[in-house]
Amino acid sequence: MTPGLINANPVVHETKARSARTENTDENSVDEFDVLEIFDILFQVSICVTWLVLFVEKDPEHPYTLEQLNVVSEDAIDLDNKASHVTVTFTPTVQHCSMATVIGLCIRVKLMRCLPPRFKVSPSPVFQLFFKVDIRVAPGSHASEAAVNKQLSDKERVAAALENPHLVEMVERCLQERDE
Amino acid sequence: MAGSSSWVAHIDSFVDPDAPESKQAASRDVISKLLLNGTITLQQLVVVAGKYLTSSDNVIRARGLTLLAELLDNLVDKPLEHTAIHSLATFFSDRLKDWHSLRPALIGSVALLRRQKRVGAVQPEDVVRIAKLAVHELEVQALSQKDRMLSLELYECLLFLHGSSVKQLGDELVLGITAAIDGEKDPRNILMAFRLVEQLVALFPEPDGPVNESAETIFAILSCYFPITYNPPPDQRGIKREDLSSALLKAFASTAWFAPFCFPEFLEKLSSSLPSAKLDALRYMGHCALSFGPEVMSAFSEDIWFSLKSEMFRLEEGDLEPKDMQIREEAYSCFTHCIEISQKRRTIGGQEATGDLLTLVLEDADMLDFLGRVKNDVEQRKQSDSGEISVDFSADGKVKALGRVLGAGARASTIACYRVTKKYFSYLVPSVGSAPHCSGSGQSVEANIPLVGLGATLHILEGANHMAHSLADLHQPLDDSTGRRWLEPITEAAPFLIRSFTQLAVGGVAKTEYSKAGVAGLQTLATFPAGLSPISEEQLENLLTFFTVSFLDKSRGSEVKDEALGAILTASDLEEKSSSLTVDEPPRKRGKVDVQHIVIPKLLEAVRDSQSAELLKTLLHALAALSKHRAAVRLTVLKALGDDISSKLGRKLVSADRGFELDRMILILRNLSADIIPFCEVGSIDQRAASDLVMDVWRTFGSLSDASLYSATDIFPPLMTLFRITVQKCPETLQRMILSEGLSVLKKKSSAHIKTDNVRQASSNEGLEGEHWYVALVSSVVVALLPSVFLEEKETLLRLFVNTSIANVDPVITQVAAQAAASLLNKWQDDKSGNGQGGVCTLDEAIVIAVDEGWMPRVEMVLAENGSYPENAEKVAVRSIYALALAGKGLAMRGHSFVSEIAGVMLRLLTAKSTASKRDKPNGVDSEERLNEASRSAVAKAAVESFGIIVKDHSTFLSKSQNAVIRPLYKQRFFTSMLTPLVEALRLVGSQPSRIWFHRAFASLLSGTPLAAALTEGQKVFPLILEGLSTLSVYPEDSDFLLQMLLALSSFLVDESHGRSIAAEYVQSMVTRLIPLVQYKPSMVIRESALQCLAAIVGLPFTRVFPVKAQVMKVITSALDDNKRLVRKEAVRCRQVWSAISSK
Repeated sequence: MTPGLINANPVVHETKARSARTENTDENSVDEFDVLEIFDILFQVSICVTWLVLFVEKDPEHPYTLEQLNVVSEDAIDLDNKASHVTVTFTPTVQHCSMATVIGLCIRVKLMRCLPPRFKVSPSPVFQLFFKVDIRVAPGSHASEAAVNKQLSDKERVAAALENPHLVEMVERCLQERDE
Repeated sequence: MAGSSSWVAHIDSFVDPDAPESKQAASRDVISKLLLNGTITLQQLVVVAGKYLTSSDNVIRARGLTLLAELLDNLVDKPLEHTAIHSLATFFSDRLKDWHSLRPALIGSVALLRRQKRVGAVQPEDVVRIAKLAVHELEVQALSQKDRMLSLELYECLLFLHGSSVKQLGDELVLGITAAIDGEKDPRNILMAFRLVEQLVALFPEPDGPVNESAETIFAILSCYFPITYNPPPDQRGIKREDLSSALLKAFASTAWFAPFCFPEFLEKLSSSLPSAKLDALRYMGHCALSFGPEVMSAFSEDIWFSLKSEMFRLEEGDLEPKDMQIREEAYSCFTHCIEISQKRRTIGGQEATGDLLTLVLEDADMLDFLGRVKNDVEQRKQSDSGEISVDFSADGKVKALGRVLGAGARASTIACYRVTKKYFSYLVPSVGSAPHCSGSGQSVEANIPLVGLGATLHILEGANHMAHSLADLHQPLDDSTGRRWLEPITEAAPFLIRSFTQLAVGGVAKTEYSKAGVAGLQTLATFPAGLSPISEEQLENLLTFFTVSFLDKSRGSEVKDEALGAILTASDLEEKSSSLTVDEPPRKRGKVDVQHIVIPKLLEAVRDSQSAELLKTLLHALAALSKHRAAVRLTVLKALGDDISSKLGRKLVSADRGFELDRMILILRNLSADIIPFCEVGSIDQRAASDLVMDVWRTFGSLSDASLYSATDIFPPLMTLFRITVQKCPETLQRMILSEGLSVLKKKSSAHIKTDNVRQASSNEGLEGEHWYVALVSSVVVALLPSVFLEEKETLLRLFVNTSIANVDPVITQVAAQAAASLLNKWQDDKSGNGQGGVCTLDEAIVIAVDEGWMPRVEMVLAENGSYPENAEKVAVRSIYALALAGKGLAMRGHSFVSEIAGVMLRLLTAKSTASKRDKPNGVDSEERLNEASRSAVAKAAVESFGIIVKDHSTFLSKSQNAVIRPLYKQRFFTSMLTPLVEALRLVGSQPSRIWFHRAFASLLSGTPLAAALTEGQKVFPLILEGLSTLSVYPEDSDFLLQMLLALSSFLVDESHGRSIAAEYVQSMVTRLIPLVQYKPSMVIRESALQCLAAIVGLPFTRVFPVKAQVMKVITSALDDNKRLVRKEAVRCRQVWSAISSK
């Protein structure tokens, strides 16, 4: 593991100002799940940019959200409500596979918690989180991309990862609600 | 002495480096207290602590010094002898050399330097000594943040408090401070460093002084920070980017010696690609220009103009982002500042040429080119004679930018304005100089619209207008010859401008853009302050007329109309402002040419002639807007509209063919009571006019005898509102006048009616609804009366209202009558003299009249067991219940205990329902019984609502604005008094269907009670809430009550002090009741609130909450798939807090 910060000073993107959508108050209408809703769920997920800080110090120094770091955007979410299927494509900030897995894990756990169970219940191939990791300008990106995707879409491995107290702690920290 | 050893022990414990920090601090505080009250002296202390102060152990010595320094800091207000101060100063300044005890030495020195004269300050020679040692010994930038801060504080004290003493150090001091701040990184220290520079400059203002010599060095240090790019993490010490930025700005602007370095720096940053850098550069440039003065500025005017120009041109290209807009604004305000300062030379420097920057601008090649184009454009148009305009309005960036430049120039100063306008209009207007002869011929005039120069013209006028207003705001008497001279070019151009703008506005061109621009231009011309207007009264009159006509013109688009109305409003506001300014010296006010005399009559006329509701609404809206802040206008409008109403009321209503008239009157009445009368001030002349209107209406009604009036009953509700609104703010005399007039009309109309107190007769007189409307009108007056208005006939009135309130007429009438009766009871004043001979009864008698003789018999009728009562009885009963509830409220508000009896009746009504249903069940369901059932539930429903009526606030009756008598906390008292009977009644009632009525009543009661009252009665209330939650969830129509219960529950759950401890005992039962509500189909809000309550439960003690977790998680998970997004969001939040408790 690299000693020191992976990306101590990330590029912070301005978040899009979005108008609060006017909710339908009609009792009988049905609000379908849509991309924006998924995005709203994810956009609060803060990512600790510094891998080491997370373990060394209690407080991560850059608790930016996924959106601020341009990791997840609305366009990258693909949703099929009928088939209960979500695909999230994300772009890690740095070409370092350890971060990619953590981010992926966070996204996966967050969605697991916030979407109704039908979105993930087996037996049929009802729910799969396909994470396509898009690593720009990285030597040997193919290999790691495939590896990360494999890790994240493998249920067993996700479950195993969540047994690891360190990982769980980190994921929990990333999923903490931000105050603002 | 006894304490001697103890305080010595304290010293030891403070100095001991291993002692815990809290103990050290406590010891120090003890010693400092002893010092303050004089138990020990500083000398004693020094003697005892001497061994620490001179110890050779670095740590111990530092601790000893810390003690002495911190004590000194605490003793800042205690007088000390000079010798003591002297030796302390020598001691501490020497310690500055001691690296190990540097921090305490700094603290001590700062504490000494901060001492005020009256308690013994440090002598100048000691100050110099400290300063010298500081300059020579402190390597500030090599120290830690805290020590750097202290060092800067030391310098700050030296400069701010002992400036005169340290001045002799000169160069030495400047160099020392420069070295100290060089390369500082901590924002707190930087802030202080900026202040130091500012102070240093103030200390050495001499041109040959040390600061001037090292200006470049100092600037080099400062300029590293420009522009400030500091993005503090959210928590930090409260220093924001803006703080740093303005401190740096002050430092930069502190002396003109920085100018040679500043401006190149700013100009360089201006070409940077960072928007924030640009913004800062512009802002700094503007400010520095103002503080450096014209001499310095003239050297840079060329550079500034060219860089600004290129920036301005760039800003006009393409679409602008918000940041760019900001930059543009800043650029022009910077430009205005520069012009302003360069115009100042004449007043400062003597007879040299002034305004070189403006000259530069006006002689600029681009500018001349632009002016040439303006001229050509005008000439071409005149020649082409076609009247057709083909030039593209969206002129290119340069034209726009130069237009703005001229506007910004005109804004800078009067002379600049004069020069700009003279130059510009000399290009624009001479072509018109020959125009007058052809202006008569029509089409050629149309061709004179200066389209190319349109933007520039508008900007210049706005600039001049702004200038005139800022002059007028100064309140300086203007010298006529010079004071108005700068306006001359505009005055000369005014006829031309008015003509061309008018043509634009009238729409020689199809686009609304042009029309708007035209109106805007006219508005600017019309809104110059009174003494400084470039247009004559006649012209102003034309303008105002023009605005009015455009506003009234039906063929206009709404945008142009709005624009015209905006212009009128602006002009009106301006008049109001100038008239309030010149109250004591009115001579220079314009004669009769103002909005009130020109616009208002036209609008009023239009109101009279209007034939469509849409148009009328716009007109009335405009009138209301105009009269909102101007009492004089309000009076005119009120009088005119009032005359209109009262004169037409009689004639039009009587005639069968009313047409639009009735709707028109209703609209006017609504407008009067909503937008005009509420703004009248108490006791003002316009309020008098409003009450005159009411009197006129009364008289009109009095003279009418035709019964056909009653067919136009639509007119009454708005009239009632008008009466109430007018009366509520009237003084007593006027109220009495209105009331007695009303009563006499009422007597005349139904003399037979009012004398009778036969209830049955009144309620059976159904054909006489028309007369009841008069009672309703009187009721609206009574509702709003002051308690002090004494009524001769109040007993009769009360009977009348009671009878009307149960009569079978329009509900509007019965309700307002009930409100009037309740208001009477609420404001009832017993005859203080004690002799009841005047025919005036006491409050208790009044209650008997109203309740026992009036409403109760009706209610009793349905309460009777045998169930045989007239057909309409339940309707009457429902009305009576409403009236009773209101009366109860009125009495409760004044603290009368009778309300509890009324509430008792309501409870009985609820029980009556239950006995009825019990009895009905076994009897089977024949239709007669069903009918009975329905009517009884209507009665019970009314009883349920009555609890809400008593505790809720109503705006139109029994409220503060309606002059009601209100005792504080009456709601709380009523709520508390109701709890026991309610609980008791619930205990007695067995079956579920009847319990539900009590829960509804309870929810209704909760809806108006302050939740704090419910919390104090928590032990009783909470079980009721819980039971209500399960009982009320059965029928969908109870969802409002259910929501009320949930709100009350959540207020328990968030109340830290009391509510939560109660709720904690009921966790399991709360959860079992909330779980079905999470899936409550009929209402989304209930599902949401139930989830919120569930989320709040997590905050209760862990041992109680944890057992229900599995249960809750299951239901939340199902809520994640709710049909409604808001519910899903709430579920996500709720799930998160619940899942968090497992990991504890």
